[in-house]
Amino acid sequence: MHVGLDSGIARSQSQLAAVCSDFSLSLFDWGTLKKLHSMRGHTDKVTGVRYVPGSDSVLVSSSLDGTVRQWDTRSGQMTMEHSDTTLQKRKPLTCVDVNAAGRFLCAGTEVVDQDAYLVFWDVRQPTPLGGYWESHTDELSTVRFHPTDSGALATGSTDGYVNVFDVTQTSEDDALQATLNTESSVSSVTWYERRDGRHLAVVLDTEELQLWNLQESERTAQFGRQEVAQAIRRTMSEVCYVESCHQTAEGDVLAVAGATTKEGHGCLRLLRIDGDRLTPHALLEDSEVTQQLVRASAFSAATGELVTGGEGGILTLWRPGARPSSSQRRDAKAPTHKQRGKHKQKPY
Amino acid sequence: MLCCHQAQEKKRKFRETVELQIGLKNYDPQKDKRFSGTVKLRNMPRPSMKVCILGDQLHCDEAQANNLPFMDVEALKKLNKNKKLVKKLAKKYDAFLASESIIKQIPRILGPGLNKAGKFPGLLTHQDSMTGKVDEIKSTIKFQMKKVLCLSVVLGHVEMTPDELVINTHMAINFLVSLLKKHWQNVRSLHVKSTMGPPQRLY
Repeated sequence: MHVGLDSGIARSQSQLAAVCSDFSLSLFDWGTLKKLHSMRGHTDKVTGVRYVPGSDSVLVSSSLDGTVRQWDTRSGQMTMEHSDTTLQKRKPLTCVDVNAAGRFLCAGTEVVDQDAYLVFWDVRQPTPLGGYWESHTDELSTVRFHPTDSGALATGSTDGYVNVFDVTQTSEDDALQATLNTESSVSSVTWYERRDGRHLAVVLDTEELQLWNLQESERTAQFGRQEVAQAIRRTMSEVCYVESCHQTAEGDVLAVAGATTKEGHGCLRLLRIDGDRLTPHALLEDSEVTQQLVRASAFSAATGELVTGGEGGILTLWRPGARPSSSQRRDAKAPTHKQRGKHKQKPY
Repeated sequence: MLCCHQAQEKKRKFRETVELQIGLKNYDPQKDKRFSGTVKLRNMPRPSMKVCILGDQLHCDEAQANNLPFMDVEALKKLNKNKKLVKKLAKKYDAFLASESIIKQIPRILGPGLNKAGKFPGLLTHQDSMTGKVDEIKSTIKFQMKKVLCLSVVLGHVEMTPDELVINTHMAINFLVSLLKKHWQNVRSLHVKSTMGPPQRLY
């Protein structure tokens, strides 16, 4: 059974949830990467997975089958199914998130009859509270509530816009606070704070990064694929990619970036975004793991630990200053000796 | 071969677009990374795009001097967030550029109408050359893979010289191939086609 890992990995305090290509979800213990459960029910590709903030036992997942499902991670059973049938047909859902208070769900959709929707549910109700459909023109690629402000939502789409909403407002018109035009196609957004307010780190489908200041709706930095390649010490930008960004406990923004090539020339690194520079933060060394294209990651700000998942089906836990551990390898061989002291915090 | 085709063109009433059609292989739209974005080409593929400047005082003056259509904040506020009027504005132009001080107010002044039309403005700073930015918009093309293994991008138009089209074609192909995981192994075929003409195979 192949672990898809292209729709994301979600983490809670002690667990990890990853998507499998057979439409099921797999639960793992974060520390040992031991598999706990399989959760089945979705009938099409699972596109997003998130834990309800602060909870180890409630997981939500979105799918192209048009449902957001809630799961009890202790039993592995589905506890609720949310969908939106206001148009007499289900809208394929492409991403999902839960707000900080754990009260509301938001999912983005594919284009349905020329509209791209954001649908909202109360976690306790299967039918939607409402939706927005005026602010994006193309498929939603990501929805991200603010980590502590339950009313702030950032959304990104292949139309190139990142929209920021105050969902406590009653109408979409009033809720839309800012539109950031990346002039490309958005892959993911990450909230971070600076002294002058809220910012967003935006990863584009063209393997580029943009940083935006929300107060001013201003782009404060952009890094093209060449700059990403230089930062990860590769000469061929066409094999380089950025997977996503994470915020550390100190408020730094880290980007998971790598290069794919055969014969061990692949690499995986964490880059720190320093104002207008990308600086190396850590080298994630394990040639079998870094051969594959990393498609999903989850970060623990508390411990600095990172989990990555890639197209080769390997989940890897990286700890600062220690050897990585991986699950689902084809052979049980341990990483070679030169990889001791992986994930060092000093720059290269 | 491109110029040979142009010579055979019948006279049409509109300026035909030239497109690159890419057929992909070994790519699974369900599993592989999304293939979508924009790329800037050297020779303007869409010179007749109408771009409107939503400007502060300085930018409005500059727009006037450059014979570019413009609107200031007051003119935008006069639309009173009326959906029909905003929609009409969106229809009138192909793209918008807005000054820094204005762009952050757009959602408040106009609501999501420009978003809905896919025409939210690009940013125009006082460091940018206005005509340069307008040319940039006219030179940037969008590409997006949907569920079928084939996509098409605008390369230019039939009144461009063969050299200009060739340069644009190379830039587009190189950029798109660089974004595919297996690069040329993901490309099954390449065709160039003008709106009314037959496709011509390149690869």
